[in-house]
Amino acid sequence: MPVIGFIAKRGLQALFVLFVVTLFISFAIRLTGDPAVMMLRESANVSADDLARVREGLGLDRPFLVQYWDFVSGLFTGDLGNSFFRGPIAPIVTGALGATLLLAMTSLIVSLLISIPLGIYAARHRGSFGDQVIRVLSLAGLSFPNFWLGIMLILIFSVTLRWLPASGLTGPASLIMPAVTIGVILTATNLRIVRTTMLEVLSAQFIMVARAKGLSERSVIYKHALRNSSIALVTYLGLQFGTLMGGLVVVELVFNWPGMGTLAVEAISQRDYPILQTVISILAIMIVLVNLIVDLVYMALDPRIRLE
Amino acid sequence: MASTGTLLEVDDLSIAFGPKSVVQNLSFSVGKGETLAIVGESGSGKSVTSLATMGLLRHVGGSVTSGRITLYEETGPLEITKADDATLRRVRGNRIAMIFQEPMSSLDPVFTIGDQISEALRLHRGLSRKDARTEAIRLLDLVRMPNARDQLGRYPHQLSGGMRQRVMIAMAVSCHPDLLIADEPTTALDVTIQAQILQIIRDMQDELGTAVIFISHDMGVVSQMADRVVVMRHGKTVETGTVRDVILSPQAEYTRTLMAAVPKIGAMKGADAPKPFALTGEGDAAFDHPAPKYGDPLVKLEGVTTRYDLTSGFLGRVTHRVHAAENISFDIVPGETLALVGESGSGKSTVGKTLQQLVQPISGRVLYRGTDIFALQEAERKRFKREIQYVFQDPYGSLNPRRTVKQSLTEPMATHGLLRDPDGQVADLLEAVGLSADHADRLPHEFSGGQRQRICIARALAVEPGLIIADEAVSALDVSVQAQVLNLMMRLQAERGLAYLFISHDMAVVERVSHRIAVMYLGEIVEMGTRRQIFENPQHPYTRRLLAAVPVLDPETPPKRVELGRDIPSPVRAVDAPLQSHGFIEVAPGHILADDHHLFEKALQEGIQA
Amino acid sequence: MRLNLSTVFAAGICASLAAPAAAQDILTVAQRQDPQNWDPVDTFLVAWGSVASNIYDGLVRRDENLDLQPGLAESWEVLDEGMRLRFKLREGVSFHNGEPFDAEAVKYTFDRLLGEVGGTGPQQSNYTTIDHVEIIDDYTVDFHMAQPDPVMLTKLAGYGAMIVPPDYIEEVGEEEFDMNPVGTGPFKFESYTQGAQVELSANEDYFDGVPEVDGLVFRFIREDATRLAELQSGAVDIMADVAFSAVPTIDSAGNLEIVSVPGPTIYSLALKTVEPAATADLRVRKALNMAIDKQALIDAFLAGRGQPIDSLQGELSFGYDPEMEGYAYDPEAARALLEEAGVPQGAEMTIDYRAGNSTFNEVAQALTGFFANVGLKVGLNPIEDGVFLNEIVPQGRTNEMYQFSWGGWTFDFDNTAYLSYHEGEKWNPYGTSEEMNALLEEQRNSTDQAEREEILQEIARLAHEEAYHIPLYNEETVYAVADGVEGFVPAPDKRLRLNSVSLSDQ
Repeated sequence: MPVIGFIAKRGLQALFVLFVVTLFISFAIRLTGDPAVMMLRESANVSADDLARVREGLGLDRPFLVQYWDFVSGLFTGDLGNSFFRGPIAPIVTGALGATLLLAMTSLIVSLLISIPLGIYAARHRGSFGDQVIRVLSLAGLSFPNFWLGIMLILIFSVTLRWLPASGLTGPASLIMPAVTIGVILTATNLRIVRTTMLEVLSAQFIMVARAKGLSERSVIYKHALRNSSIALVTYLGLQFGTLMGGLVVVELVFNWPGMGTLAVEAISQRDYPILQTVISILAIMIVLVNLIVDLVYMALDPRIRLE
Repeated sequence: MASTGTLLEVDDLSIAFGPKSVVQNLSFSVGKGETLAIVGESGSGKSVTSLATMGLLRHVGGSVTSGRITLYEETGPLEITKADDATLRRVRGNRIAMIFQEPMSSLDPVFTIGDQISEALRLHRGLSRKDARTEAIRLLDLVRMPNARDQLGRYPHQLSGGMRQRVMIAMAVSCHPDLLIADEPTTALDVTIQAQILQIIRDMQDELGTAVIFISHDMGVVSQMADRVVVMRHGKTVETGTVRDVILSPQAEYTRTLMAAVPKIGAMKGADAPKPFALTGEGDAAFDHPAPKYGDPLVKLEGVTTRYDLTSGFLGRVTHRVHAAENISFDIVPGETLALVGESGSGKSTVGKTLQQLVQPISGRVLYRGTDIFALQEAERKRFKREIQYVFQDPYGSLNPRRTVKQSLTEPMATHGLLRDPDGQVADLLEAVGLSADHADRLPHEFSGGQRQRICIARALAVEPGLIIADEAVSALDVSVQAQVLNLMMRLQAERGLAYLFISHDMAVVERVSHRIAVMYLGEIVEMGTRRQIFENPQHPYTRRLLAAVPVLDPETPPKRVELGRDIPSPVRAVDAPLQSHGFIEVAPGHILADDHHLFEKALQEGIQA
Repeated sequence: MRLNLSTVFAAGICASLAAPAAAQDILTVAQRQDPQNWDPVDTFLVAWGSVASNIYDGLVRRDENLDLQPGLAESWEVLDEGMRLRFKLREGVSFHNGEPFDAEAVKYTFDRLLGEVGGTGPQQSNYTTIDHVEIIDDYTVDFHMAQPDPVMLTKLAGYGAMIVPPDYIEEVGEEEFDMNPVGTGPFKFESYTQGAQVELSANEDYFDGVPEVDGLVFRFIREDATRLAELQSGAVDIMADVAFSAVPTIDSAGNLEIVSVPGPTIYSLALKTVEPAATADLRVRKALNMAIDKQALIDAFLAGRGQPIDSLQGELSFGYDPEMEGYAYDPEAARALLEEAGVPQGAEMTIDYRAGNSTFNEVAQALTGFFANVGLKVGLNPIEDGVFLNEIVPQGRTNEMYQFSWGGWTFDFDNTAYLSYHEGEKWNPYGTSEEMNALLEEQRNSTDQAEREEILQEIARLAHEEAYHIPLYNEETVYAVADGVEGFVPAPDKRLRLNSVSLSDQ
């Protein structure tokens, strides 16, 4: 019951956030330039009539609130309308969203598969040579700019070695470099979080109690310690999501990944409001949704939250 | 109690953390079914010894540098110090089990009680999930856990400290170990809860014939629990003997000092004034304690009530309130020590915080020399912040680690415009608390816990207060240090006519230092009177329970059987619950008693059955 | 969400499976922009032309030298003083779907462009001088003009004038046609992956040279560095939109070659000719022209891939006058002129320019240096595109100098000159002269190309004398080509026709 109430409460909050975000986006976007002018900028002999005709064709002559309402109701009905320049939005955006999620999830999973065991190792062997190496590597990982790292990978693995495709989404091999680029940064930060929270949990008395019960070190670490430190990790991942999305835009551009970031950049350059406002709204929905999921996972992991 | 045969033998054991030796050449043995107490102050090596016995030393970074620990099993002797990991895991939780000091952090917060008890049962006894559950219920019944079946699905945070310690005991004895190591198992608990837990351990031992190593700093507890005692200091054995010999006729110099520093309840019978401990090396200990001047009160509380709102639900409505302090009235005169005693949730600290102006009461008045503090403007109140000083429980947390002693001492003086001659004033203060003037430029970490508490007292004295609130100010200190600090406080009172509000859960300490005592229960004062009235003629059933629960330092008298009641009730009440405030009757001049005292036992019984 | 993920993966895998087997020759071209739709009436992007020129044909075709060649029309006549154009159509041509090409298709194409469907797109405005198309017989059509349009033949070679299949569009609808276009061109449309690539296959029945390769793939890669890496890694054969900064790298690579051709785009600074701007004084405008060493700019920022210009057109433009002499680089004379005009040393001026073009940003920096050299303190004012195009220029709210860069895809000076000099045009916020207006109108009404050329040259001379602009340079269109690509001829207008390109074994 409290869980349902909680979801209802967060759902309402999410709706309000979306309302504010979409209204702001729709409004702000229209301040950045007239798409009719952008369309006709390379055509000769443009008259005011031509502009008016194009505006009418794009539906830009209607009052702002009507345009806004069409857009918002479309978000709920799934009928997202048409892009100014390239047909129905829904398939374009779902395709891009799929590509972005594929990349984000792969990077996240790879990063967790690397950072959890290494983080645990570093925490258990605090101050050892291995711990030092891991800490230096994670610091190095943090200091790579996304863009630079992406270009370096391309130069090494595509241009020089010719092992991997330099760009695009053309199959599993094309996923490797973009996922690694994002994964390196994620891993670097996750590693630090896992190490720190593990250190804290491992010094807790209940860990010693678990050992005193005769449990193997394996179940002490992976059952008791990991479950407890995952609470902090999940919280952190939720907070990190926005940053991850920001990083994705850059990485998508470098690897020409047909995702939301590339789509947004193109839409911006063309003043394609319908696409742009859909992309931003979906990102906002995702951030709200991820935070909701984080809260729910948090509740599942931590009975202290669930039962209060 | 001891049956024949040795169960565990520790022989010439030395333990080190890196280059630092913490236990040297320790030897003792535990017989089957016997209880051996290891007594010592912090740094004596007693807890490290217990970890070594469990084979857990390497997890805290320690190692055995010499000697051996041998466990005599039915199948033959097992040398724990040489055993491999697999063997140790078989022994741990199975043949040797352990209860730790902090029940609040001993249980994994994310697993249910049932899961955590079942874990060892399934591991060592190979029970199925279902059988483990049934067995877990039986074990919880064994530790007198109310509604054992319902408790299995609960999480640690839903239980009180006492209940958690019962779960720990149930877990520890789940595989019928031959040896139970109990490391300060009751130190963090309220005194009535402590009595219950000690009773449960004794019952357990009777039922299962388990040998116990009982690690404690508390001589009272030891005298009730142990057959034999090992006294340790700085990693070395000081004295070994039966509990009777060690307590009644200690041989070693250190043991004698330790015994002198232990406040013994009932030792003050017939005395009116507080009395310093007779400690060796403190020549001026026996000073005359001047009687307080009963006249105009220094501080007067009139009907002070403090409640905290608890919100819940969709709209964050206030549904419950913590009744932290209800209708509190008392006086303190200059030169007097009023002790505020009670257990967790009794509201004694809230009263202290109200006086310190950290908490705003919702009703009632606080008068200092006749002035209502809370009726004043913020600026004028500052003066009273100087007049009323505070000494906290934790001497580690209350000093800024980056400031020298001198900086810590001069800061409040400067704030209140009392700084005239920094060096001289600091030197005077340090000497007044038994430190030397050359300590002024040192940082807090260079001092021991007792010394830091002296610095805290010096800081309180720096602004020349009339009243010092000492909130559990000596609770965290070793017993010998505690005695020194208490002596210091009493001497300062005698010299300067200071008044103390002495907040404590330790009845034996309270008996030693106070003039008058107020007993608090669930936010209310239930009984108040002079020390002799409260200790020699307690009227309220709760006061009696509190006193009865204090372990008596007398190995000759077997402990009285303790009723295994429920927890201390919570001071949280629903917003719409009827207010049941009580009045007072005066049973003797200055001795007042809650007028609903006769309802107390009944209410408690109802609580247990509910 | 799972559904979407697997769809994407499936799409990716299918795309790689669908690629013809290794035995086939597939030519891969990488360009910056994804044209995003394929209907000729909807597009406004140069990037569209490089792909779509391989799918569609117009009635006429413009070749690599910008000469008009027969396309779907075998011949044409200009009749009634330019009020009627008659086209004789090629027989035996079919669209990729088998639908025959005839007069009906031409009429349908232009009715559609000039009607409701074309009205929502940006192309219609280029063709409004056409009144209607009349079918004379199956293979003859007449274009009736609303007014003479000397550039119309050129316009028929591109964009909105591409001939589309009537039956197909009526059958599948506009949206389907937009995503699965059918034309008559050398390559057939196979598939399009949004934001990634479009795949074409050879049209074995093409009337004007069957393609040498079996397939053609255009990949859309926005990042310059990534596009270059794809070329270097061998995944791409021809790279379009080469950044000038990358030219030296490619030049020094053994297996890559730079191919370039003068493009349509010119860069200049327009000058504010009204008070209180100091540039209202002709002497100042001339002085500013003399202060710039154009070749130095080209060498420094365009890797030498450009030509200095003295009017707002390159040498391939119709109306270009090789005889015309521009203002020579002469800082001394510039300083003297400024002094004469009473402009004090250290006078302040500002250049407004479109932020976001990194090459021109660098050029603008350098320009301030040249101006400083003649004693002017010139500041830079970068402005976001939308604001610049909507608010600043048409409203006449510029500073003394403002960027004017234009890609006149008709390569006819009329296009650029009219919107820069004629009264009331967006790019002419401060006005020119009656004489200029008259000349511009006169050439528009003439169908005699020789006469028009003379007038256009006269316009350029007049603009030069009045120094309305500081013409800077004509950018080259730069491609990088990998070893093994043979027969690639760069198109000045980026309309690549790749049927004559072949791949040799490397």
